[in-house]
Amino acid sequence: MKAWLRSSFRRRIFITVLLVTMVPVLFSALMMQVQIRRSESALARQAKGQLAQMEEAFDQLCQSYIRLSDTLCASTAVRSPLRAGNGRSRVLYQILFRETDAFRDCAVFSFFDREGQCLYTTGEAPPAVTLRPDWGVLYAAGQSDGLVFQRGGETGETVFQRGGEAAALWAARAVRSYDRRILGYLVITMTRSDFDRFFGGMYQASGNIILLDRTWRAVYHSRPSQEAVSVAALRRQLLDGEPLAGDSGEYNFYAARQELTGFSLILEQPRVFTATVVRAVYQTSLLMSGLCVLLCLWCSWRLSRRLARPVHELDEAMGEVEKGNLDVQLPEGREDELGRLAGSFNKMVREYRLNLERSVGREREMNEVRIRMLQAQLNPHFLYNTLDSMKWLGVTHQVPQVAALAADLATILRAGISGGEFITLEQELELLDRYVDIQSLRFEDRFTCEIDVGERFLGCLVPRLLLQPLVENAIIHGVADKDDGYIKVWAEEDEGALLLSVSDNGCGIPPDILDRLNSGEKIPGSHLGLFNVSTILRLHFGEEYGLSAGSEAGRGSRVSLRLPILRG
Amino acid sequence: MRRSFQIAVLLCVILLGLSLSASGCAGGGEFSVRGPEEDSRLTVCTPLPEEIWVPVIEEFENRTGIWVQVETGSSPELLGQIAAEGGSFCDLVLGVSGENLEACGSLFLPCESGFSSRIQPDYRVPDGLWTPFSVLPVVLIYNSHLVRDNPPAGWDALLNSAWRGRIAFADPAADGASFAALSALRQLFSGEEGAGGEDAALRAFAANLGGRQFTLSSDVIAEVSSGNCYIGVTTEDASLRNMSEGGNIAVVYPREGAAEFCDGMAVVSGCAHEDNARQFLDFVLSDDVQRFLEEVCARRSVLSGLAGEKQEKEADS
Repeated sequence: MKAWLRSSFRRRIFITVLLVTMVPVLFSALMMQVQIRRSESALARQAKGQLAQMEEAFDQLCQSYIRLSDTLCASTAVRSPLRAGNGRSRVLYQILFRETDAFRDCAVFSFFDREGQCLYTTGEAPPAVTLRPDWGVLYAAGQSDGLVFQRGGETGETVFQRGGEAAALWAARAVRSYDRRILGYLVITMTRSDFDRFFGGMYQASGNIILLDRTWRAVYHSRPSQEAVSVAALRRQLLDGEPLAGDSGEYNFYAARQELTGFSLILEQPRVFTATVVRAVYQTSLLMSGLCVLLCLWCSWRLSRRLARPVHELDEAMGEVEKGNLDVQLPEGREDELGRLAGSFNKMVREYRLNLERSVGREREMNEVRIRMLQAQLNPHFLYNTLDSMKWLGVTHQVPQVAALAADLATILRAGISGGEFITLEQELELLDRYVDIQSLRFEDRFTCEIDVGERFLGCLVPRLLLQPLVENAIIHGVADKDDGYIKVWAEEDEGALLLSVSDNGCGIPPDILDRLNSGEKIPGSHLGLFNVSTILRLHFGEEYGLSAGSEAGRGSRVSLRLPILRG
Repeated sequence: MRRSFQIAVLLCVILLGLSLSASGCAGGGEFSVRGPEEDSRLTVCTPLPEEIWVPVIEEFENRTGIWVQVETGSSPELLGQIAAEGGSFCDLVLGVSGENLEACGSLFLPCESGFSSRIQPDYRVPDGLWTPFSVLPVVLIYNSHLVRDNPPAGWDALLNSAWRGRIAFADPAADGASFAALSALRQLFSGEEGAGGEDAALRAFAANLGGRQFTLSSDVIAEVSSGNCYIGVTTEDASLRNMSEGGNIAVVYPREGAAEFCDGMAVVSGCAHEDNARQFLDFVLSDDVQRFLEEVCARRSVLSGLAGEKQEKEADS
């Protein structure tokens, strides 16, 4: 992964931009989640409080019914009329109304005989209804000594109605004689309206309250239209061990089981953030994340185009330069660091190209000089052999001057055509000496040449035949017309360089020629030897080396060569 | 640079994790209640209408504390599912006609109820693979508004071309009443040859149906009540319930004698709650339930001494 990232500039930009954009998006998604959870937590606290309050109220009501049943069923004034089996006891009615005074708003209280015929009731309907003693609540009451609670509704029994409404809850207790025989039943009936009044105000109107019996059949649902579907879904979820989510999934459910009756009370609270809303939040978050990724891809593409492309171009241009293409140039439209880098690269390539051109030019010049010098040598082998013949002719005919002259010239010629480019200063001075001997014969000793070079310079390497053109120049153009010509050759060290000078007491060098000599320019027709020497030095050692000349009209001239000290 | 990059990646991972965990915890509620244990459960499948099974099942729940899950559907569907899934689909089948239960006997466990000895001898099942639930006389019904003169009086009315295309008759493969009616027709014309023989009678009846057959017995009452058909063949209890609810049908007990059939119950082989299923069998065969079926559901009890004449009185009235 790390290697994958590091291998591409573009990938690194993409990951960086992705991180920069994803962190805020994820953070906002997290904040939304936290906010949703805080709201749901607050609502859950509220719901649990309401549920506990309702559970306690219902528990108290059931307790009251049990105490009331204890009182009524133990009363002789109740037992006696029930044993008699008629509904004409005014005393029983008195007791019934007196004892149920506090509860008649939310229930109907009736006495049934042991056959299930209603004899006395606080309800509005005439006491003409019957209940099956072998079925439902009367059967359960007959099996128990206490008050039993059962859901009303579709039990198949004759429906006991109050104001046209079916019973939602039955509570019944058998009235027994002292010998435990059943004399009749006390039946308490609560309808849906009774529960509406009882639970009214204990929970928020947007919620629902559901009362279920021991096997989760509906006793009461505050929204009857939803009862069948909602309760069936809850019952199935409980049996399947799933979380209670109802049929729509848009409510939170809080359930508590009442110990006394075994009934369950369920508060159905609408979710502030329904599944639809939460799904929309998630979808929005996902969409935002997707957009972020797309934005990152676009940004990284743009950025890498802006940043990586110039770098890539530079990389390619460098490759071209390595291959030898020096015409390559980068576009310089940008004003930032990459633009300046491109400018510097272009300048570097241009200068490199110029240097190379200069170097090639210098090499070409050098070749030209070499050609010129070779041309000047005019088949030196043939000359050398001729001179050797002349020498032996001089010796044979006893003309020693001719023999010496020919020997000196042959030595000089041999030095010019054989060996390396460089010779020691000592060898150079030896050649110079031969040359001076030749010229002395020619000019009949009308000049003197003094060579004054220290021992320490004799081992230095110099280009061959370097001094000969200088001495020749001093003889031909300086002291040729004089009878006491004097030429001096000496060497000295000047700031780490070797300075070889030739001076004469001749007529001097005209100023225009002197200027050309000092500036390294070619002098047409004359002083070609000096120009060649100067060119050789510059080509060998660089522009700071070369030839310089000084002159004083009628008093002589001086020509110096400046070259590095090279030891052999 | 590298450290800050690592921190950013770490932050992203943490935020992503927190977002996912928060979303996973969203919603819900709190429940201090739990479902019943396995030994307090029973699954019953039944093709019966709700007015029959709801009070019986709820009374069973109230008396025993056992939670009953009910799967409903037509008899062929339910038996098909039992054949496919066995005891994992349900523990007990209730209210399927005896012929159908007999045909699928291999799916069920033989059960002997404590009340078996009180079952009327005609309805006892020798191998005990199923147990009778109630007896259902098959009757003829007609729309009392549309049929004023010459109402059907006996099974031969089904062959009367006057009712051609106007007879509501359910598929005998799925409906016990239709099967019993066909059997009655065959018996009526058995022993006669030619045009008066049982085959000719069945062909005439098929022609009289006009190619129409209904899926459920309850469809028969709806078709006659709505006037789409003039006469129909169905069970006595359904007809009487419809009449008590104010339906415009009349019941005719065929003069040749009403055919009848038993619907029954059977414990599914390999079921998860066999004890509870046996308990349910005993409960259904108890006097309380059988009397309840007689007096409230307009059905006839399979127990000796309980089969009353309440229904015939109601029909006569």
